[in-house]
Amino acid sequence: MTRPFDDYLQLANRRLANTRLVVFIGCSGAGKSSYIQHLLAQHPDCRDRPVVRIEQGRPLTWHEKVPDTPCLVVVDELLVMRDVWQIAKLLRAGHRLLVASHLPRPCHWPLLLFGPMLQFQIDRLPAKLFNALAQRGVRSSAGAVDRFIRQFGANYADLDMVLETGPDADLDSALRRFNRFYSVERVRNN
Amino acid sequence: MNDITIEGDLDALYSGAPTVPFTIAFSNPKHQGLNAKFCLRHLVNVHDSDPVNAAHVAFEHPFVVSDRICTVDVPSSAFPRFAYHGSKVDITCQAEVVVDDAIFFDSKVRQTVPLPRLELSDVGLAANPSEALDPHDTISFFRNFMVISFKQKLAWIATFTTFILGLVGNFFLALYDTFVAANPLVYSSEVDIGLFAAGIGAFVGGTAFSALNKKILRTYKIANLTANPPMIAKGRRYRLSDFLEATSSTNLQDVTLRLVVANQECGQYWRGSGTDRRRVTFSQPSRALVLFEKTTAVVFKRADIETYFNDRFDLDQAFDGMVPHSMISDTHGVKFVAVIQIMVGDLADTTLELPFEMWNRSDFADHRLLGEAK
Repeated sequence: MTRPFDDYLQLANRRLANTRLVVFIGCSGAGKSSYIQHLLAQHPDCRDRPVVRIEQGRPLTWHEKVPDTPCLVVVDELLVMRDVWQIAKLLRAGHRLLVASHLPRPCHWPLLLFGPMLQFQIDRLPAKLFNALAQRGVRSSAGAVDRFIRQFGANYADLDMVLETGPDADLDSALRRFNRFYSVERVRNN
Repeated sequence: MNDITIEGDLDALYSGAPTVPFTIAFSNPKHQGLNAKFCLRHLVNVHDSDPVNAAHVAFEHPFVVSDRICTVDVPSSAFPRFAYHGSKVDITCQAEVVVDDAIFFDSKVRQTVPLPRLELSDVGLAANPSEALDPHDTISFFRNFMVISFKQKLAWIATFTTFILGLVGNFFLALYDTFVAANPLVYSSEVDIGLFAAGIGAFVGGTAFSALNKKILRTYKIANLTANPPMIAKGRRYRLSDFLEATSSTNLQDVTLRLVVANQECGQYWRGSGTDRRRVTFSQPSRALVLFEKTTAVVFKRADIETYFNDRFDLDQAFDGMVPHSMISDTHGVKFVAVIQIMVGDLADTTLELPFEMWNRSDFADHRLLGEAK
Protein backbone atom coordinates (compact mmCIF):
# COMPACT_ATOMS: atom_id res chain seq x y z
CA MET A 1 0.00 0.00 0.00
CA THR A 2 1.42 3.41 -0.97
CA ARG A 3 1.11 5.95 1.81
CA PRO A 4 0.98 9.72 1.18
CA PHE A 5 4.39 11.36 1.57
CA ASP A 6 4.89 12.93 4.98
CA ASP A 7 6.79 16.21 4.59
CA TYR A 8 7.88 16.15 8.23
CA LEU A 9 10.74 18.61 7.54
CA GLN A 10 8.22 21.01 5.99
CA LEU A 11 10.40 21.72 2.98
CA ALA A 12 7.47 22.25 0.59
CA ASN A 13 7.29 25.98 1.27
CA ARG A 14 10.97 26.52 1.89
CA ARG A 15 13.06 28.29 -0.77
CA LEU A 16 15.89 26.05 -1.95
CA ALA A 17 16.95 28.00 -5.05
CA ASN A 18 19.92 29.57 -3.29
CA THR A 19 20.90 26.47 -1.34
CA ARG A 20 23.88 24.77 -2.97
CA LEU A 21 23.70 21.58 -0.97
CA VAL A 22 20.89 19.73 0.82
CA VAL A 23 22.05 16.73 2.84
CA PHE A 24 19.71 14.12 4.30
CA ILE A 25 21.53 12.15 6.98
CA GLY A 26 20.30 8.87 8.37
CA CYS A 27 20.56 5.13 8.50
CA SER A 28 19.39 2.80 5.74
CA GLY A 29 15.61 2.87 5.43
CA ALA A 30 15.27 6.30 7.06
CA GLY A 31 13.68 7.78 3.94
CA LYS A 32 16.59 9.86 2.57
CA SER A 33 16.09 8.75 -1.02
CA SER A 34 12.31 9.10 -0.71
CA TYR A 35 12.70 12.69 0.46
CA ILE A 36 14.99 13.45 -2.48
CA GLN A 37 12.47 11.84 -4.85
CA HIS A 38 9.74 13.97 -3.32
CA LEU A 39 11.75 17.18 -3.80
CA LEU A 40 12.54 16.29 -7.41
CA ALA A 41 8.88 15.60 -8.14
CA GLN A 42 7.18 18.33 -6.12
CA HIS A 43 9.43 21.14 -5.03
CA PRO A 44 9.32 24.23 -7.29
CA ASP A 45 13.09 24.76 -6.94
CA CYS A 46 13.96 21.18 -7.88
CA ARG A 47 11.39 19.80 -10.32
CA ASP A 48 11.62 20.12 -14.11
CA ARG A 49 15.37 20.62 -14.01
CA PRO A 50 18.16 18.61 -15.58
CA VAL A 51 19.15 16.03 -13.02
CA VAL A 52 22.22 13.81 -12.92
CA ARG A 53 22.10 10.84 -10.57
CA ILE A 54 25.14 9.35 -8.97
CA GLU A 55 24.32 6.04 -7.41
CA GLN A 56 26.71 3.63 -5.78
CA GLY A 57 29.48 4.11 -8.37
CA ARG A 58 33.09 4.73 -7.50
CA PRO A 59 33.57 8.36 -6.54
CA LEU A 60 36.56 8.78 -8.83
CA THR A 61 34.20 8.52 -11.79
CA TRP A 62 31.68 11.02 -10.47
CA HIS A 63 33.02 13.98 -12.41
CA GLU A 64 32.80 11.97 -15.65
CA LYS A 65 29.07 11.53 -15.18
CA VAL A 66 28.33 15.19 -14.55
CA PRO A 67 28.24 17.69 -17.43
CA ASP A 68 30.25 20.92 -17.30
CA THR A 69 27.14 23.10 -17.27
CA PRO A 70 25.67 23.58 -13.78
CA CYS A 71 22.86 21.17 -13.00
CA LEU A 72 21.16 19.45 -10.11
CA VAL A 73 23.17 16.43 -8.96
CA VAL A 74 21.64 13.72 -6.80
CA VAL A 75 24.12 11.62 -4.81
CA ASP A 76 22.19 8.60 -3.62
CA GLU A 77 24.66 7.13 -1.14
CA LEU A 78 27.43 9.01 0.60
CA LEU A 79 29.07 6.27 2.64
CA VAL A 80 32.69 7.16 3.37
CA MET A 81 34.46 10.30 4.46
CA ARG A 82 36.77 10.48 1.44
CA ASP A 83 33.75 10.94 -0.87
CA VAL A 84 33.04 14.29 0.81
CA TRP A 85 35.99 15.54 -1.22
CA GLN A 86 34.14 14.55 -4.41
CA ILE A 87 31.09 16.48 -3.23
CA ALA A 88 33.33 19.49 -2.68
CA LYS A 89 34.63 19.18 -6.25
CA LEU A 90 31.08 19.10 -7.65
CA LEU A 91 30.12 22.16 -5.60
CA ARG A 92 33.21 23.99 -6.82
CA ALA A 93 32.15 23.21 -10.40
CA GLY A 94 28.92 25.15 -9.75
CA HIS A 95 26.43 22.29 -9.36
CA ARG A 96 23.63 22.12 -6.82
CA LEU A 97 23.46 18.86 -4.89
CA LEU A 98 20.91 16.73 -3.09
CA VAL A 99 22.76 14.14 -1.03
CA ALA A 100 21.64 11.07 0.94
CA SER A 101 24.38 10.53 3.49
CA HIS A 102 25.27 7.89 6.07
CA LEU A 103 28.03 10.01 7.60
CA PRO A 104 27.71 11.87 10.89
CA ARG A 105 26.68 15.50 10.71
CA PRO A 106 30.13 17.07 11.45
CA CYS A 107 31.60 15.37 8.37
CA HIS A 108 29.61 17.72 6.14
CA TRP A 109 30.56 20.94 7.90
CA PRO A 110 33.62 21.64 5.67
CA LEU A 111 31.24 21.85 2.69
CA LEU A 112 29.84 25.10 4.09
CA LEU A 113 32.90 26.73 2.54
CA PHE A 114 31.31 26.23 -0.89
CA GLY A 115 27.99 27.96 -0.23
CA PRO A 116 24.72 27.74 1.68
CA MET A 117 23.98 24.24 2.91
CA LEU A 118 21.05 22.57 4.66
CA GLN A 119 21.49 19.30 6.49
CA PHE A 120 18.83 17.21 8.16
CA GLN A 121 19.43 14.28 10.50
CA ILE A 122 16.25 12.43 9.62
CA ASP A 123 16.68 9.31 11.75
CA ARG A 124 16.48 11.09 15.09
CA LEU A 125 13.10 12.81 14.75
CA PRO A 126 10.37 11.57 17.11
CA ALA A 127 7.78 13.67 15.22
CA LYS A 128 8.48 11.71 12.06
CA LEU A 129 7.89 8.45 13.87
CA PHE A 130 4.69 9.72 15.51
CA ASN A 131 3.38 10.76 12.06
CA ALA A 132 4.28 7.36 10.61
CA LEU A 133 2.55 5.60 13.50
CA ALA A 134 -0.56 7.76 13.11
CA GLN A 135 -0.66 6.93 9.37
CA ARG A 136 -0.54 3.24 10.26
CA GLY A 137 -3.17 3.60 13.00
CA VAL A 138 -0.77 2.49 15.74
CA ARG A 139 -0.71 4.04 19.23
CA SER A 140 2.51 4.64 21.08
CA SER A 141 3.88 6.11 24.26
CA ALA A 142 6.69 8.68 24.04
CA GLY A 143 8.91 6.20 25.88
CA ALA A 144 8.41 3.51 23.24
CA VAL A 145 9.21 5.98 20.43
CA ASP A 146 12.35 7.02 22.32
CA ARG A 147 13.40 3.38 22.82
CA PHE A 148 12.72 2.61 19.18
CA ILE A 149 14.85 5.55 17.99
CA ARG A 150 17.71 4.54 20.26
CA GLN A 151 17.55 0.97 19.02
CA PHE A 152 16.88 1.44 15.29
CA GLY A 153 16.84 5.15 14.46
CA ALA A 154 13.67 6.85 13.22
CA ASN A 155 13.28 4.89 10.03
CA TYR A 156 10.34 3.42 8.19
CA ALA A 157 12.01 0.16 7.20
CA ASP A 158 12.60 -0.92 10.78
CA LEU A 159 9.26 0.47 11.96
CA ASP A 160 7.41 -1.70 9.43
CA MET A 161 9.67 -4.63 10.31
CA VAL A 162 8.70 -4.35 13.99
CA LEU A 163 4.99 -3.66 13.46
CA GLU A 164 4.44 -6.51 11.02
CA THR A 165 5.45 -9.09 13.62
CA GLY A 166 2.11 -9.04 15.35
CA PRO A 167 -1.36 -7.64 15.52
CA ASP A 168 -0.45 -5.20 18.29
CA ALA A 169 -2.18 -1.85 18.10
CA ASP A 170 0.60 -0.12 20.03
CA LEU A 171 4.32 0.25 19.50
CA ASP A 172 5.14 -0.61 23.13
CA SER A 173 3.84 -4.18 22.80
CA ALA A 174 5.23 -4.63 19.30
CA LEU A 175 8.70 -3.52 20.37
CA ARG A 176 8.65 -5.75 23.43
CA ARG A 177 7.55 -8.72 21.37
CA PHE A 178 10.16 -7.99 18.69
CA ASN A 179 13.00 -7.80 21.20
CA ARG A 180 11.89 -11.04 22.84
CA PHE A 181 11.25 -13.24 19.82
CA TYR A 182 13.08 -11.61 16.89
CA SER A 183 16.60 -10.49 16.10
CA VAL A 184 18.07 -8.53 13.21
CA GLU A 185 21.35 -8.71 11.42
CA ARG A 186 22.23 -5.89 9.02
CA VAL A 187 23.89 -6.99 5.82
CA ARG A 188 25.45 -4.41 3.53
CA ASN A 189 24.19 -4.50 -0.05
CA ASN A 190 27.14 -4.56 -2.41
CA MET B 1 7.72 -35.73 -20.09
CA ASN B 2 10.32 -36.21 -17.42
CA ASP B 3 13.18 -38.63 -18.14
CA ILE B 4 13.44 -39.61 -14.51
CA THR B 5 10.70 -40.60 -12.07
CA ILE B 6 10.93 -41.40 -8.36
CA GLU B 7 8.52 -43.54 -6.41
CA GLY B 8 8.87 -44.30 -2.72
CA ASP B 9 7.17 -47.20 -0.95
CA LEU B 10 5.78 -45.10 1.87
CA ASP B 11 3.69 -47.98 3.19
CA ALA B 12 7.00 -49.38 4.43
CA LEU B 13 7.59 -46.12 6.31
CA TYR B 14 4.12 -46.10 7.84
CA SER B 15 4.36 -49.75 8.88
CA GLY B 16 7.64 -49.21 10.69
CA ALA B 17 10.03 -51.05 8.34
CA PRO B 18 13.70 -50.22 8.97
CA THR B 19 14.22 -49.07 5.37
CA VAL B 20 12.02 -47.49 2.73
CA PRO B 21 12.75 -48.52 -0.88
CA PHE B 22 12.71 -45.78 -3.52
CA THR B 23 12.38 -46.91 -7.13
CA ILE B 24 14.00 -44.62 -9.68
CA ALA B 25 13.09 -45.11 -13.35
CA PHE B 26 15.37 -43.72 -16.07
CA SER B 27 13.54 -43.62 -19.41
CA ASN B 28 16.33 -41.83 -21.31
CA PRO B 29 18.95 -44.39 -22.54
CA LYS B 30 21.62 -41.62 -22.48
CA HIS B 31 21.58 -41.80 -18.68
CA GLN B 32 22.80 -45.40 -18.62
CA GLY B 33 26.29 -45.78 -17.16
CA LEU B 34 26.39 -42.23 -15.75
CA ASN B 35 26.96 -41.24 -12.15
CA ALA B 36 23.87 -40.22 -10.23
CA LYS B 37 22.97 -39.21 -6.69
CA PHE B 38 19.87 -39.76 -4.60
CA CYS B 39 19.26 -37.27 -1.84
CA LEU B 40 16.62 -36.93 0.90
CA ARG B 41 16.21 -33.44 2.32
CA HIS B 42 14.25 -31.91 5.16
CA LEU B 43 13.06 -28.47 4.12
CA VAL B 44 11.87 -25.52 6.14
CA ASN B 45 10.03 -23.02 3.95
CA VAL B 46 9.31 -19.65 5.48
CA HIS B 47 5.96 -18.05 4.60
CA ASP B 48 7.14 -14.66 3.48
CA SER B 49 7.56 -12.61 0.33
CA ASP B 50 11.35 -12.57 0.82
CA PRO B 51 12.12 -15.75 2.74
CA VAL B 52 15.36 -17.40 3.83
CA ASN B 53 14.54 -21.10 3.55
CA ALA B 54 16.68 -23.89 4.91
CA ALA B 55 17.42 -27.46 3.92
CA HIS B 56 19.11 -30.30 5.72
CA VAL B 57 20.40 -33.32 3.81
CA ALA B 58 19.31 -36.30 5.87
CA PHE B 59 20.41 -39.04 3.47
CA GLU B 60 22.63 -39.14 0.40
CA HIS B 61 23.42 -42.10 -1.86
CA PRO B 62 25.69 -41.87 -4.93
CA PHE B 63 25.26 -44.63 -7.49
CA VAL B 64 25.85 -45.52 -11.16
CA VAL B 65 22.81 -45.83 -13.42
CA SER B 66 23.17 -49.47 -14.42
CA ASP B 67 19.61 -50.28 -15.39
CA ARG B 68 16.34 -48.62 -16.39
CA ILE B 69 15.08 -49.18 -12.86
CA CYS B 70 17.30 -48.58 -9.84
CA THR B 71 16.35 -49.03 -6.19
CA VAL B 72 17.71 -47.10 -3.22
CA ASP B 73 16.93 -48.22 0.34
CA VAL B 74 16.56 -45.20 2.61
CA PRO B 75 16.70 -45.76 6.39
CA SER B 76 13.38 -44.87 8.05
CA SER B 77 15.29 -42.77 10.59
CA ALA B 78 16.24 -40.35 7.80
CA PHE B 79 12.62 -39.22 7.39
CA PRO B 80 10.93 -36.56 9.50
CA ARG B 81 8.08 -38.21 11.36
CA PHE B 82 5.48 -35.73 10.13
CA ALA B 83 4.90 -32.79 7.82
CA TYR B 84 4.27 -29.49 9.57
CA HIS B 85 2.24 -26.64 8.10
CA GLY B 86 2.27 -23.64 10.41
CA SER B 87 1.41 -20.00 10.10
CA LYS B 88 5.01 -18.91 9.52
CA VAL B 89 6.90 -22.05 8.44
CA ASP B 90 6.32 -25.41 6.78
CA ILE B 91 8.46 -28.49 7.32
CA THR B 92 8.44 -30.91 4.42
CA CYS B 93 10.58 -33.66 3.00
CA GLN B 94 11.88 -33.91 -0.54
CA ALA B 95 13.56 -36.68 -2.53
CA GLU B 96 15.89 -35.68 -5.34
CA VAL B 97 17.80 -37.55 -8.04
CA VAL B 98 20.55 -35.83 -10.01
CA VAL B 99 22.27 -37.45 -13.00
CA ASP B 100 25.71 -36.12 -13.90
CA ASP B 101 25.05 -35.73 -17.63
CA ALA B 102 26.20 -32.17 -18.30
CA ILE B 103 28.87 -29.69 -17.25
CA PHE B 104 26.49 -27.06 -15.91
CA PHE B 105 22.88 -28.20 -15.92
CA ASP B 106 22.57 -31.80 -14.80
CA SER B 107 19.26 -33.65 -15.24
CA LYS B 108 17.40 -33.71 -11.97
CA VAL B 109 14.02 -34.50 -10.54
CA ARG B 110 12.57 -33.54 -7.19
CA GLN B 111 9.56 -34.93 -5.47
CA THR B 112 7.90 -34.04 -2.22
CA VAL B 113 7.56 -37.06 0.06
CA PRO B 114 3.99 -37.13 1.38
CA LEU B 115 4.16 -37.43 5.16
CA PRO B 116 1.25 -37.51 7.59
CA ARG B 117 0.17 -34.34 9.35
CA LEU B 118 0.21 -34.18 13.11
CA GLU B 119 -3.26 -34.12 14.64
CA LEU B 120 -2.83 -32.06 17.80
CA SER B 121 -5.27 -31.45 20.57
CA ASP B 122 -6.32 -27.81 20.92
CA VAL B 123 -7.72 -28.28 24.43
CA GLY B 124 -6.51 -25.59 26.82
CA LEU B 125 -4.41 -23.71 24.26
CA ALA B 126 -3.54 -20.18 25.36
CA ALA B 127 -5.26 -17.49 23.31
CA ASN B 128 -2.06 -15.44 23.16
CA PRO B 129 0.96 -17.79 23.00
CA SER B 130 3.52 -14.94 23.13
CA GLU B 131 2.00 -13.56 26.32
CA ALA B 132 1.82 -17.04 27.88
CA LEU B 133 5.49 -17.72 27.16
CA ASP B 134 6.74 -14.25 28.02
CA PRO B 135 4.30 -12.48 30.35
CA HIS B 136 4.85 -8.79 30.88
CA ASP B 137 7.20 -8.25 33.80
CA THR B 138 6.39 -5.11 35.77
CA ILE B 139 9.35 -4.07 37.86
CA SER B 140 9.39 -1.38 40.53
CA PHE B 141 13.05 -0.46 40.46
CA PHE B 142 13.07 1.17 43.89
CA ARG B 143 11.29 -1.71 45.65
CA ASN B 144 13.45 -4.23 43.85
CA PHE B 145 16.64 -2.36 44.73
CA MET B 146 15.65 -2.26 48.40
CA VAL B 147 15.17 -6.04 48.66
CA ILE B 148 18.51 -7.11 47.15
CA SER B 149 21.41 -7.74 49.50
CA PHE B 150 23.91 -5.06 50.53
CA LYS B 151 26.59 -6.77 48.43
CA GLN B 152 24.35 -6.74 45.35
CA LYS B 153 23.48 -3.09 46.00
CA LEU B 154 27.19 -2.31 45.92
CA ALA B 155 27.57 -4.38 42.73
CA TRP B 156 24.75 -2.42 41.10
CA ILE B 157 26.25 0.94 42.10
CA ALA B 158 29.70 -0.14 40.83
CA THR B 159 28.23 -1.29 37.50
CA PHE B 160 26.24 1.90 37.06
CA THR B 161 29.23 4.10 37.93
CA THR B 162 31.49 2.18 35.52
CA PHE B 163 28.94 2.58 32.75
CA ILE B 164 28.57 6.34 33.29
CA LEU B 165 32.34 6.91 33.59
CA GLY B 166 32.94 4.79 30.48
CA LEU B 167 30.28 6.69 28.55
CA VAL B 168 31.54 10.14 29.51
CA GLY B 169 35.21 9.15 29.04
CA ASN B 170 34.53 7.63 25.63
CA PHE B 171 32.61 10.69 24.52
CA PHE B 172 35.37 13.12 25.49
CA LEU B 173 38.02 10.86 23.95
CA ALA B 174 36.01 10.80 20.71
CA LEU B 175 35.68 14.61 20.75
CA TYR B 176 39.41 15.00 21.44
CA ASP B 177 40.41 12.58 18.63
CA THR B 178 37.99 14.08 16.14
CA PHE B 179 38.50 17.77 16.65
CA VAL B 180 41.73 18.36 18.63
CA ALA B 181 44.36 15.65 18.39
CA ALA B 182 46.93 15.74 15.58
CA ASN B 183 47.60 12.05 16.25
CA PRO B 184 44.33 10.50 17.44
CA LEU B 185 44.64 8.14 20.37
CA VAL B 186 41.89 5.66 19.45
CA TYR B 187 39.43 6.95 16.86
CA SER B 188 41.85 7.31 13.98
CA SER B 189 39.85 5.70 11.16
CA GLU B 190 38.54 8.01 8.49
CA VAL B 191 35.18 6.23 8.30
CA ASP B 192 34.51 5.30 11.90
CA ILE B 193 35.08 8.78 13.13
CA GLY B 194 34.88 9.53 16.82
CA LEU B 195 31.30 10.54 17.44
CA PHE B 196 29.96 7.60 15.51
CA ALA B 197 32.18 5.21 17.47
CA ALA B 198 31.17 6.92 20.70
CA GLY B 199 27.53 6.28 19.79
CA ILE B 200 28.25 2.59 19.18
CA GLY B 201 30.16 2.46 22.49
CA ALA B 202 27.22 4.00 24.32
CA PHE B 203 24.84 1.48 22.76
CA VAL B 204 27.04 -1.51 23.65
CA GLY B 205 27.61 -0.16 27.17
CA GLY B 206 23.92 0.54 27.61
CA THR B 207 22.95 -2.95 26.47
CA ALA B 208 25.53 -4.55 28.79
CA PHE B 209 24.35 -2.43 31.69
CA SER B 210 20.72 -3.24 30.99
CA ALA B 211 21.51 -6.99 31.05
CA LEU B 212 23.56 -6.74 34.25
CA ASN B 213 20.92 -4.51 35.82
CA LYS B 214 18.22 -7.18 35.42
CA LYS B 215 20.60 -9.91 36.58
CA ILE B 216 21.42 -8.04 39.76
CA LEU B 217 17.79 -7.12 40.44
CA ARG B 218 16.81 -10.81 40.25
CA THR B 219 19.24 -11.79 43.01
CA TYR B 220 16.64 -11.36 45.76
CA LYS B 221 15.82 -14.98 45.02
CA ILE B 222 17.84 -17.98 43.97
CA ALA B 223 16.10 -20.39 41.63
CA ASN B 224 17.61 -23.44 39.96
CA LEU B 225 16.53 -26.68 38.39
CA THR B 226 16.98 -29.65 40.72
CA ALA B 227 20.22 -31.60 40.32
CA ASN B 228 18.47 -34.73 39.03
CA PRO B 229 15.10 -33.78 37.59
CA PRO B 230 12.93 -36.76 36.56
CA MET B 231 12.23 -37.72 32.96
CA ILE B 232 8.88 -36.26 31.97
CA ALA B 233 6.59 -38.93 30.58
CA LYS B 234 2.92 -39.32 29.81
CA GLY B 235 0.69 -40.71 32.57
CA ARG B 236 2.95 -39.66 35.43
CA ARG B 237 2.27 -37.00 38.03
CA TYR B 238 4.73 -34.45 39.30
CA ARG B 239 5.24 -31.76 41.88
CA LEU B 240 7.05 -28.53 41.12
CA SER B 241 9.63 -29.52 43.71
CA ASP B 242 10.66 -32.33 41.34
CA PHE B 243 12.09 -29.66 39.03
CA LEU B 244 12.63 -26.53 41.07
CA GLU B 245 14.69 -25.39 44.06
CA ALA B 246 14.13 -21.75 44.98
CA THR B 247 14.57 -19.55 48.02
CA SER B 248 14.12 -15.88 48.62
CA SER B 249 16.15 -13.50 50.76
CA THR B 250 13.06 -11.46 51.51
CA ASN B 251 9.36 -12.00 52.18
CA LEU B 252 7.49 -12.17 48.89
CA GLN B 253 3.90 -11.26 48.19
CA ASP B 254 1.64 -12.42 45.37
CA VAL B 255 3.92 -15.12 44.04
CA THR B 256 2.68 -17.00 40.97
CA LEU B 257 4.37 -20.12 39.65
CA ARG B 258 3.52 -21.40 36.19
CA LEU B 259 4.71 -24.23 34.03
CA VAL B 260 4.24 -23.32 30.39
CA VAL B 261 5.02 -25.31 27.26
CA ALA B 262 5.06 -23.76 23.82
CA ASN B 263 6.03 -24.25 20.22
CA GLN B 264 7.99 -21.56 18.49
CA GLU B 265 8.14 -21.42 14.71
CA CYS B 266 11.67 -20.42 13.74
CA GLY B 267 13.06 -19.07 10.50
CA GLN B 268 14.46 -16.05 8.75
CA TYR B 269 13.44 -13.50 6.13
CA TRP B 270 14.83 -10.39 4.49
CA ARG B 271 13.64 -6.84 4.85
CA GLY B 272 14.71 -3.53 3.35
CA SER B 273 16.21 -2.71 0.00
CA GLY B 274 18.55 0.22 0.64
CA THR B 275 22.22 0.23 1.54
CA ASP B 276 21.66 -2.23 4.34
CA ARG B 277 19.34 -5.20 4.15
CA ARG B 278 18.03 -6.75 7.35
CA ARG B 279 18.07 -10.48 7.91
CA VAL B 280 15.33 -10.98 10.49
CA THR B 281 15.53 -14.14 12.59
CA PHE B 282 12.32 -15.07 14.33
CA SER B 283 11.19 -17.63 16.88
CA GLN B 284 7.51 -16.81 17.07
CA PRO B 285 5.35 -18.66 19.62
CA SER B 286 2.60 -20.45 17.72
CA ARG B 287 1.01 -22.66 20.40
CA ALA B 288 1.24 -22.51 24.16
CA LEU B 289 -0.26 -24.38 27.09
CA VAL B 290 -0.23 -23.31 30.71
CA LEU B 291 0.04 -26.69 32.42
CA PHE B 292 0.30 -25.48 36.00
CA GLU B 293 -0.54 -22.14 37.57
CA LYS B 294 -0.95 -21.23 41.19
CA THR B 295 -0.68 -18.03 43.20
CA THR B 296 0.13 -17.76 46.86
CA ALA B 297 -0.29 -14.59 48.91
CA VAL B 298 2.96 -14.76 50.89
CA VAL B 299 6.23 -16.67 50.76
CA PHE B 300 8.41 -16.13 53.79
CA LYS B 301 12.06 -15.35 53.46
CA ARG B 302 14.55 -18.22 53.37
CA ALA B 303 11.70 -20.71 52.87
CA ASP B 304 11.76 -23.09 49.93
CA ILE B 305 9.43 -21.42 47.47
CA GLU B 306 8.48 -24.67 45.75
CA THR B 307 7.01 -26.12 48.96
CA TYR B 308 4.20 -23.54 48.76
CA PHE B 309 3.20 -25.13 45.45
CA ASN B 310 2.99 -28.75 46.45
CA ASP B 311 0.04 -29.80 44.27
CA ARG B 312 0.50 -32.79 42.01
CA PHE B 313 -0.17 -32.38 38.32
CA ASP B 314 0.39 -34.24 35.07
CA LEU B 315 1.94 -32.92 31.89
CA ASP B 316 0.02 -35.15 29.46
CA GLN B 317 -1.48 -32.24 27.59
CA ALA B 318 2.00 -31.23 26.41
CA PHE B 319 2.42 -34.54 24.62
CA ASP B 320 -0.99 -34.32 22.93
CA GLY B 321 -1.04 -30.62 22.10
CA MET B 322 2.53 -29.75 21.17
CA VAL B 323 4.80 -30.45 18.23
CA PRO B 324 8.03 -32.10 19.41
CA HIS B 325 11.29 -30.23 18.94
CA SER B 326 11.95 -30.26 15.17
CA MET B 327 14.79 -27.89 14.31
CA ILE B 328 16.71 -28.62 11.12
CA SER B 329 19.29 -25.91 11.82
CA ASP B 330 19.99 -23.37 14.57
CA THR B 331 17.58 -20.93 12.98
CA HIS B 332 14.94 -22.99 11.15
CA GLY B 333 12.26 -25.38 12.31
CA VAL B 334 9.84 -25.75 15.18
CA LYS B 335 11.12 -25.43 18.73
CA PHE B 336 9.57 -27.03 21.79
CA VAL B 337 10.12 -24.96 24.91
CA ALA B 338 9.03 -25.64 28.48
CA VAL B 339 9.57 -23.05 31.18
CA ILE B 340 8.87 -22.56 34.86
CA GLN B 341 7.97 -18.93 35.49
CA ILE B 342 8.31 -17.42 38.95
CA MET B 343 6.35 -14.17 38.91
CA VAL B 344 6.47 -11.88 41.91
CA GLY B 345 4.32 -8.73 42.10
CA ASP B 346 6.44 -5.77 41.11
CA LEU B 347 9.80 -7.54 41.54
CA ALA B 348 11.82 -8.98 38.66
CA ASP B 349 10.47 -12.35 37.46
CA THR B 350 12.57 -15.45 36.78
CA THR B 351 12.21 -18.06 34.06
CA LEU B 352 13.84 -21.49 34.10
CA GLU B 353 13.84 -23.69 31.03
CA LEU B 354 13.20 -27.44 31.16
CA PRO B 355 15.27 -28.77 28.23
CA PHE B 356 13.59 -30.96 25.63
CA GLU B 357 15.91 -33.84 26.59
CA MET B 358 13.88 -34.15 29.81
CA TRP B 359 10.75 -35.04 27.84
CA ASN B 360 10.11 -38.60 26.77
CA ARG B 361 10.28 -38.30 22.98
CA SER B 362 8.23 -41.41 22.30
CA ASP B 363 5.18 -40.02 24.15
CA PHE B 364 4.63 -37.24 21.62
CA ALA B 365 1.80 -37.43 19.13
CA ASP B 366 4.06 -38.05 16.13
CA HIS B 367 5.00 -41.47 17.49
CA ARG B 368 1.44 -42.61 16.95
CA LEU B 369 1.62 -41.65 13.25
CA LEU B 370 4.33 -43.98 12.08
CA GLY B 371 5.22 -47.41 13.34
CA GLU B 372 8.43 -47.80 15.26
CA ALA B 373 11.39 -48.91 13.15
CA LYS B 374 12.27 -52.46 14.03
